[in-house]
Amino acid sequence: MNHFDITQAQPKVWSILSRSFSNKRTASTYLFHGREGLGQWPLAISFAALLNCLKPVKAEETGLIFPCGKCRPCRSIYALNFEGLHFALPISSHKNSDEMIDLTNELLEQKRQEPFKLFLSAQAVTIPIAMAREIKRTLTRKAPKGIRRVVLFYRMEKMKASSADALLKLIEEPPGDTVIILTADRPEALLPTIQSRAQKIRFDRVPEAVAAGYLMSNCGVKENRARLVVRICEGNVGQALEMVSSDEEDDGSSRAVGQLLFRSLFTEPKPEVVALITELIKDRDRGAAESLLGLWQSLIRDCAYYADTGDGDDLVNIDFAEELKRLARFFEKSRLAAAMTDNIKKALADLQVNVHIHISLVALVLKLRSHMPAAEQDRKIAGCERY
Amino acid sequence: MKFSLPKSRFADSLQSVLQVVPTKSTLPILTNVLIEALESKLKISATDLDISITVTVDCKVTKKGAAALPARILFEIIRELPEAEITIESTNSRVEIRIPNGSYKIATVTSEEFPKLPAVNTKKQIKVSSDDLVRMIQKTTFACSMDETRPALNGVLWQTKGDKMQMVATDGHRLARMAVENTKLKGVSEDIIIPPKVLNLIPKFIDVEQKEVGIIFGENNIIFNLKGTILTSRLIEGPYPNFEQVIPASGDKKVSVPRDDLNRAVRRVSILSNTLTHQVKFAIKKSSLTLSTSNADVGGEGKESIQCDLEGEPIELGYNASYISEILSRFDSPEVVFEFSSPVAAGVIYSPDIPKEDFLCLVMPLRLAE
Repeated sequence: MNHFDITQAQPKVWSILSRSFSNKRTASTYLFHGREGLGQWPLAISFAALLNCLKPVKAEETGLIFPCGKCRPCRSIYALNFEGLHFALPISSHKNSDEMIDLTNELLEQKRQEPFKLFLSAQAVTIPIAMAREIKRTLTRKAPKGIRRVVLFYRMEKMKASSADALLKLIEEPPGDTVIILTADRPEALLPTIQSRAQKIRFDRVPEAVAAGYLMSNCGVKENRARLVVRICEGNVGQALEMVSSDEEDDGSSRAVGQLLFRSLFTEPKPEVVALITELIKDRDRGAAESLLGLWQSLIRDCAYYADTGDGDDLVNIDFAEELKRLARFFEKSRLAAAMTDNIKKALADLQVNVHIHISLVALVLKLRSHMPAAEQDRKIAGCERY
Repeated sequence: MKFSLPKSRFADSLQSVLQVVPTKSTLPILTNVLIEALESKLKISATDLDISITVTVDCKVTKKGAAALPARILFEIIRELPEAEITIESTNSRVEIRIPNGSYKIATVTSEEFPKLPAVNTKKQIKVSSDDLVRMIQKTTFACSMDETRPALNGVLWQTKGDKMQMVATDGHRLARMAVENTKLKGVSEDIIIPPKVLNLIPKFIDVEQKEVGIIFGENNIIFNLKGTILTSRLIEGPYPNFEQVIPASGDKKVSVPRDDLNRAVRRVSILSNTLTHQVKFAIKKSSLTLSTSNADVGGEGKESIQCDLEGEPIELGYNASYISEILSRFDSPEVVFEFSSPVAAGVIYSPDIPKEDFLCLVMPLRLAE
């Protein structure tokens, strides 16, 4: 996907930004909100390029304007090497400013390689106040002639409230020729005083064809697989990329294990399910447990959807479609889907507070099974054994 | 690009521009120097975005061209080379440094990626006496604020007023103002605020023979043409606070003191002062000034008296010793005059040899404990 196409990940957002630019009504502060990975970073970079492009290109059909991608400012901005582009990024704890710059450069390098890549860290991350102060200091200098400065505060919710307070004046009234872009998963996570000073722009899921096309061209994933991953990740390209790369690492086996365990919830007696969990899920792998529960949520959604509509075309987990259609019978009358989803949500929350993973999963399995009446379970299990 | 020049000339030029090359940056291009081989000249430029330095030296250019090279690696290689004529030639994305008995190759970045430096239009240049400029810098920049909450005070205000140009710096606790006559600047520029970093670089680039400095006032920047070296700095956004209103017109008490004696005494007494406030008490009588301090933390007390000549009633006031010492070291005259009206109002310090309007420092007193 080239720089032109990247804006197609969020056509509505680009339309707003492009029109504000062509009407010379660019806001001084924007808040891009939505789950990370929906394209906040590449769109912010493309918008910075548009603001500084020497020869913007107008699309005949839509009338929207795009950066040319060829002039010096465009090339430097897309290479994240432009004098008017400043970043404040969430990084892990560090000892001094040199280490802070090193950590920032590592993240920038990741983004150079892959603009949709999620910022994942095993450690707690924050946007350091020192980084914000340096940006503030830089902005007190007059901008070089012909340059629109763009400051990107990425995942602003990762900045401590006390640090964010210090930026209020800057965010409310940036110096001339400066545009501030804040990104956040949820606007409510930011101080109300910051929210109210920015123009909010919501990022929706990336259209399936665009996201799948991106995975196909950038990761060499085949079309069916790309569409499956995009559906599972609900159009989140960043998460889809993570899934593709983790699938490459474990050769798709964790997904197969997740599907097997899900099926066993309905088809095997309790002791066998517990034994399978014990055997297949490593006790200390929190990430694997979270992925498993995420997959189960998605499978429950598919079962409930099929049970309700009988429509198999819109299933997310198309690689497990036949099995899902069979399991959908369990979801026909009861409120099983809602009860199971609630239990999984609680288990996911527990995983965040360092519970014992194995015990938590076993408890969850027992709870999920408890939603099915015993007699019904036995009858349906017996029925399932036939296919 | 291909050029040759003596090693020492190249090393000296690189060393000059290295002063603004950041050791680490989130903008990788800034760790490079831009080398441009022009008609028998070599231009070497570096920038940290706030300040840029361009040094131009004579050299033998065989093929014109430009490239950006990693500054510190290049300098370290050149510095270690034996004195000889070196030849530098760029090929594709690398440059080769050739010396009589070997060669070094380093990767380059295309010159286009280097931040665009402001064009220098010498026709718009105004010449200012280098002595005056250096004096103004040395006597004012020390008072700049380091507090980021008031960015305008982080710079030096340069303004033209009638036939005079003046520089002013303040951090809210002290102020330094120096003015010199210069009709050339009259009406040329509005008030501008310059970061002290660039001003402090200027004296390093001015040699004894250089009588004048060319200055170009831009909309967003200021350019200093220093005979072979161009220094450019972005300006600080204003407005600068109205400093005139804090300078008292006159005080009813004036005390003349020997500058050196006072400075030494202040430095000695302040050793026992509070480490945060550096407060030293000035008890001024008709012909003696007694400095004293006490520090409960170390259980120490210090007291010294020096001769003075007071006009007006005796007075006691407190000052931050560091501020007084820094101010005194900016004066050249054997005596200085302190002028004040009360222990809680700003006092001014000036030399009896120079009119107050030309050089004056102001310092706020500290409230003495009852």
